[in-house]
Amino acid sequence: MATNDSKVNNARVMAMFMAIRNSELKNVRTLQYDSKDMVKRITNYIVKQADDAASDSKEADVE
Amino acid sequence: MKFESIKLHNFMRYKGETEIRFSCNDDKNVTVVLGDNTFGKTTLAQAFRWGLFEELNTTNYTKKKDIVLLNNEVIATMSPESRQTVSVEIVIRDGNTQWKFTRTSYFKRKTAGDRDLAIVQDGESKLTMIIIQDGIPGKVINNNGENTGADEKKYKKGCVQETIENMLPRSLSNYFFFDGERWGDAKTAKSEVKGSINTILGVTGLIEMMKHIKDGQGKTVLKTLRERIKGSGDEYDRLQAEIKALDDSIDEYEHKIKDEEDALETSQRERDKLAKALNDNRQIEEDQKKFAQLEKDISNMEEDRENYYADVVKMFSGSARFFAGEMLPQVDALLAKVDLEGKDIPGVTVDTVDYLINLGKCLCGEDLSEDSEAYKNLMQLRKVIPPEMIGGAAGKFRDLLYDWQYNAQSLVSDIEDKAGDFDSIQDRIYEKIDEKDLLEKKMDRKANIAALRKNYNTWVSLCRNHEQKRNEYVVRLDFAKKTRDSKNQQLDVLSRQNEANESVNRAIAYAEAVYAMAERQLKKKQSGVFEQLNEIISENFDRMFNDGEKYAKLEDDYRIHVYYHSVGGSKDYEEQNLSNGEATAINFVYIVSVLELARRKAAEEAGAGETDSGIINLPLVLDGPFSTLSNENTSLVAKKLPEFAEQVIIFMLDKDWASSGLDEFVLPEYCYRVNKEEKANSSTIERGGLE
Repeated sequence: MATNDSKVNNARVMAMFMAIRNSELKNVRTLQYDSKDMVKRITNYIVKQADDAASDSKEADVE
Repeated sequence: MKFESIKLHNFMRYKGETEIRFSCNDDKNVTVVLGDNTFGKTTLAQAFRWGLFEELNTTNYTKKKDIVLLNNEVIATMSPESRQTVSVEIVIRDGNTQWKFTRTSYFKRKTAGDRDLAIVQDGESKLTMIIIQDGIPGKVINNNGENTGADEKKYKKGCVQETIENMLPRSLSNYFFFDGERWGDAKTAKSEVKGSINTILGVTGLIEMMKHIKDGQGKTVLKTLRERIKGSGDEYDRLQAEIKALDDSIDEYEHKIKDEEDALETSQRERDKLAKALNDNRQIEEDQKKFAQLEKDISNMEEDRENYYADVVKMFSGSARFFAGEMLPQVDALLAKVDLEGKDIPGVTVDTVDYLINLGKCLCGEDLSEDSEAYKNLMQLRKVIPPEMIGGAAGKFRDLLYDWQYNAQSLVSDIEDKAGDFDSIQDRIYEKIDEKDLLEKKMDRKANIAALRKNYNTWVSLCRNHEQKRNEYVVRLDFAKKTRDSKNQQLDVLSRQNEANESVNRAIAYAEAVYAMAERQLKKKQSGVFEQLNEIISENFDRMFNDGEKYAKLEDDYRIHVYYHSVGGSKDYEEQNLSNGEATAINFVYIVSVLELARRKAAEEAGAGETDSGIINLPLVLDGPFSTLSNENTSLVAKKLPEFAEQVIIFMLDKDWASSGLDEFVLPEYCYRVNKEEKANSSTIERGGLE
């Protein structure tokens, strides 16, 4: 995934990974959400995190 | 982690309150509940499942909808308006913390009529938890999320169930709750075993995550994101349409693979069931084969016997010459004084001479008048030729008789030989008929083993077909995925030209990076686990069967196969005919090995500072584990049990108690006995069942 590495912040990937994994783990155990819900939740989460990452790096560039 | 107690209230066979406390002693860690069949031991196992997971184990004979949770005697005395409760309370202890879980269901009469005893559940079941720290109980926490104060935020809907499943993962429940029927059934589904191993590895969440991001059927994160990309130009639209078509094919292949795998698993189960039936009926099959062979042999031999008889008859028909031989001595005596050499001219008889004399002239022209020399010579000749003189003819006749006698000499011995053959085949036919009759009496002729064998072969070929089809779809799926990935890359390049897609592309990059991380972690966790499980299985097998003749190995089909180290010169020869007892013992090895793997993984993770796998030492609850074992195997298995788990709870038959040798691991107060009054439907439990 070398191509992605240049486009993503690895620390943020790790944080996203942990967050998604924990919510999946919880979901597996409690079956709190169905698959559709999970896809929607993860998609929204990733979009938001990716946008945050972009604005963080823009801010860093300004500084 | 140990079970401390279980309390039943009106649960199935147990009317009113029934409590069992379990041994938490480190050395004597076994709790035993003894009782005869149908007394309600299995109900206790059901109480565990229901209390923890709201599940009930069904059998071949009882379906879930037929199971009535509320005690029958209670039902009988219920008034049409009343409401009754069934509850199971389970206390689990880990160190100084206790968790008291209570599941309760409410029941009412289905109709107001007095005669109709049918009941229905009234509302949903309720689950609560009380955490007791150092003996001090906390507040009651409700699983439905209706909690007050600070607990409201902390304990949301499903929190109690989550706590239970963190301690006792549902997917592993078949390993720590084991009932007799399953215990003997070595054919646990492959997907089930894989699922259990993934639970042990703590990767179930990871796999779900990968499914939701990319691997799943239908909507995934990446698909959703890609749909948000705005197109630019025909090329883009074309690619998008192609990808959509590929996605559809991929979905279709995945469905088909799943269908084939399901069908394969069903076929394998059927095949194995039949293999077991064939194995169990091996004797019948052999007998039937032998019977058919005997029938065939007898019919062949009867044919031979007919032939021998026909030969003898034929020989007798040609026996005139033999009997003519008897005349020879008399002929010899008669002809003793006859000149058998003869002086006649061959072919010349009295008639020839008389003809010539009548003619008065010889053939040479000589005159044959009465006083001529030639006439006298002819008359002389006339005396020594037939019929006047038959020496020559008689001589020929005697020679013929000699010839006949010589040639007929072996007739008697030939007939004797044939008769001997006839006799002996007759004896053998009688023997075979006796054998057949005996076999017929003892064997089962009704069981249609040939049909069973044919059926088995059908399933074998079905298995092969499904496997083939599955593999074909896997190849197609792989190809479609690769094509789609490459088209997605082309699409990415195009989409980047449109600035409006920047945010979506970023999200895609992150989603793919997260997926890649999950993939790496999954590989890391899964690597070596199969080998590790195999090592544990091999160790446990050796511990149980220490004769060293055989060894056990978990193969790719996720089943344990048993091999001989060496048999008749061939190495690693697979044992195909495990007895029921052996199969049970092997299964036992499997279960404790899976538990041991869970324990080792938990220890590894604890060492590595990871805390979220949710695996801790699991107790072992066994229902009727010894019912199919021989006494010898019972003792082998039972004596190992206390080593394999921190805590062992066994429901067993009285008859297995002595041979189990478990008394050294059981404190007298943790031995219980299930009693059933003759007329009552309900059972009771008495402590100190050994006394």
